[in-house]
Amino acid sequence: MGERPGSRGNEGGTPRGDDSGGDATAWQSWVSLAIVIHGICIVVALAANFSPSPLQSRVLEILGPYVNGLSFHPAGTPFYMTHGTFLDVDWRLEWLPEGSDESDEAAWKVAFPSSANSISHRRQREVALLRELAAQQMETEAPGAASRAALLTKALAYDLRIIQRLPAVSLRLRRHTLQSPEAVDSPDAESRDPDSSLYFDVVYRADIVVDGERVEIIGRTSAAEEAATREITP
Amino acid sequence: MTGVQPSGGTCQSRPVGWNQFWFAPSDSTSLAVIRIGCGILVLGYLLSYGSDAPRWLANTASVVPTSTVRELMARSWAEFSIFDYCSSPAAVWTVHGAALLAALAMTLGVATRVSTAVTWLLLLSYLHRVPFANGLAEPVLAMLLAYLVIEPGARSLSLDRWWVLKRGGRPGDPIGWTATVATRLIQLHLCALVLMTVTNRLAGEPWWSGTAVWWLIARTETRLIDLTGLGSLPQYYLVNLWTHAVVAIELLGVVLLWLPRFRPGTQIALGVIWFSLALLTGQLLWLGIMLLGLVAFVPPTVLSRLLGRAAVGSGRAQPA
Repeated sequence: MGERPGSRGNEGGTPRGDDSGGDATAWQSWVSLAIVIHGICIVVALAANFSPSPLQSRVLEILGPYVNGLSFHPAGTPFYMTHGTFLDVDWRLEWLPEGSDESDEAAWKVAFPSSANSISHRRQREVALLRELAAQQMETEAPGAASRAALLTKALAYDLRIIQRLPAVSLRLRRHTLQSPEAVDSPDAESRDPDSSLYFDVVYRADIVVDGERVEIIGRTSAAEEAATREITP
Repeated sequence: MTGVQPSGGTCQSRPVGWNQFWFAPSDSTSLAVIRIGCGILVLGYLLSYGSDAPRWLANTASVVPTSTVRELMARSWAEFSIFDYCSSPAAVWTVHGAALLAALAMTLGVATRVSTAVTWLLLLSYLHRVPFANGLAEPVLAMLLAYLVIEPGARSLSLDRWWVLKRGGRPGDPIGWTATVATRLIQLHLCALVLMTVTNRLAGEPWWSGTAVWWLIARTETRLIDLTGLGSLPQYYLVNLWTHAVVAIELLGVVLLWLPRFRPGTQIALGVIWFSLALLTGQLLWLGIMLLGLVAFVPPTVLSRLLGRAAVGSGRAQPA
């Protein structure tokens, strides 16, 4: 580890500098204990980031106020960037203006991601939110999954209709399927274009019903069941 | 961490190696550099809300209201967000403005310890307000700030230090054991994070089969550069190599960062690999934070030389 700290004239690691006046060794004992406890919490929190076992989940419940409160638990953050699953693609939340024909693809407007600038962190925030929305739409088997998925969709519908005052009557979650390496050299021009309609699926569609300040959504289609069967096909 | 001091007593019963590793006084210049970098990144994070801050952060009239977050997640009392109590845009702007000021003060080194703690606490409020919108960058940023609260490097590269010198005073010694504790915590946490990342990667088939980088290249809406030309052979071998290199360098990096002979090369390799991933994913804030984490492995004397000033406590203390 290179030159050892305190290797010149301070062999025992006795503190110096900003705590020279106090009983630093007693402090260090307490700090050592805190470091060990903190280290255990961090190891548990990080080890449980991906597919935690029931034991890890239970331990995390106990450590929750510390590791979640101080954001030491990444809580399923996809640090791996891609596993080539159904979720690891680009998503779009689109809305249909009042009076438009829903079969007219050009009529649908993109609500999220709102920024075309890929460098902006705002876009990353919106991408993360859409991923969460897509993940919730896919969760069909867990108890209460459908109502949880509807909650977030309803919040986004409220944002469109009430906060932004957009004349949205429907919204849909669209998945931008990824082009395979083989498709890049395909003789079919549509397959070669990653932005062709061939590469877009509608995973969820809902109508927005507004009653005063209340917003309700009526789900019309869900590709969640189909999605669950497609694992490694980005 | 093997030897034990012969005599008894609280301190003496701890292994000598443990004491040297955690408590030998060291220079806080690295932490000052990390603090300045973190401050700039926090400012970037806050400014990314733009004029939409109330739309994201207000407790009711927002993209995801607080009530929805509470219904979707079992939040503990500790996952506190001051924005849960901000219902009007004016209240959101007040807190947002305070956060910007605190981050600016932290960057410049004004009331450094206090401004760093305030910035950290306010950042946690942002992270807890809409947890679904947190990406790769936010947890790492919160981690760095937490450790900077222990030692923000206020006694070097700060306006606090400049002010004391201007008034003819004697600035405090930038060398202390708190700098060592903070640096060690950043180093170990970063390594644990990289280890977690690479093991998470290996839980997916594309990182074994060499296709993962292709699935990042193919995301046309998030990538910063178009490399679809690599889709056909023989260029596709480069995609495989790139994927395997990410896994190999991250796996080896966790170990090699601790070996002085290999450290500079490992830091460069990790930096290059993360930069390449940021180009494919648009995760620039994440890249900046990961690179700042690597600064904790740069000896303060080297940093002082790079900054063009005399090394503080040169040759005495380097936690690496």
